[in-house]
Amino acid sequence: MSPFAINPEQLQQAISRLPTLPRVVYQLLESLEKPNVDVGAIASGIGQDPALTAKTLRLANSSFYGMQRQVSSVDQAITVLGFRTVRSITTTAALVHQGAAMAPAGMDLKPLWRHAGACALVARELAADGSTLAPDMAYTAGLLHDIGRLVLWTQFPAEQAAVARHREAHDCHWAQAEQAVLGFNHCLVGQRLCTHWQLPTPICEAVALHHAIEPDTSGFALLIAAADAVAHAMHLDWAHDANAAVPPLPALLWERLHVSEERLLRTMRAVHPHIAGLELLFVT
Amino acid sequence: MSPHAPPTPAPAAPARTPPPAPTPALLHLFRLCAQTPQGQLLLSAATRFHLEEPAA
Repeated sequence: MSPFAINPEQLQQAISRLPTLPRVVYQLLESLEKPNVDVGAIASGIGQDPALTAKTLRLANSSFYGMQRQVSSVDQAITVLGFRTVRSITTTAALVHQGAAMAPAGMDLKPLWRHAGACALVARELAADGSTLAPDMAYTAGLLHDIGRLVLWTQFPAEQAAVARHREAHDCHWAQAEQAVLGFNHCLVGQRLCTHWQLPTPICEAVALHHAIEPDTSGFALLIAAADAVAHAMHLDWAHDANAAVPPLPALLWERLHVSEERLLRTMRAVHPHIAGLELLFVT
Repeated sequence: MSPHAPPTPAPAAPARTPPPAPTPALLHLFRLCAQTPQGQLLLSAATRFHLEEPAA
């Protein structure tokens, strides 16, 4: 057994110490599965959290959304941008805030969120372009797909450093290095955190299974495996360095998603203009 | 047309442009999956994308 293996109790304790999400974020995530939501109640819920309101308005007013006039309230943001966009903004802001709360002061989480944000954009685009999967759910699952890496990075830094050394020595995929060193990979950690946060089942499954695709794996996990690979292929890795690699891809991935080379290229073209704005979204 | 006229040659098929070759940097990025058909498909799309957007 590796000297850096983490036992299941250690992992569970670390996850149970992590903060839960603000109540309004649960409402936002629940609304992903409900066609008729009380938008006013959710807007009011966001409005009762001053930090979340400030972040939502800062993002809504950022150049990323290219608005002609500034908005000064959540209600106004919903009127101008639409509920779905504001839901994405607020969820992103809340998750980035939670990530920062987990991390030691000074830790730069931008590379993580840059990759997560790219995966979210690609997942939404792939879902919207001829799939039956809900684009907003795909976006959130993409945003969270590597949340387990954030937990390991912030709660188990020595073990994470051992994973990095193993990966460099063996030039293998990050998840394989985690498996060899820790005894499990970030997908399991992410699943535990998503369960702790009581997130919708499709998101938990996508986080848990995006590196363990089987013939009967759900559509969302397939979609996130694909979006992760596309984000890497666009050079939107955690680290833009010699270690970066597109992960091994499951057989029949593209066939099951009905994705052709042309559709992949179309997705990359559609996402590319938004990449420059990603960092704006992830400033804490 | 006279039945004795020489047959008109069929127009030559337009030369097929070979797919662009991936750069060494892209091949390195795809080193864990380029040996599979699914990796090849993504590599082809990425090669075309990075040709269009060299700064991406």
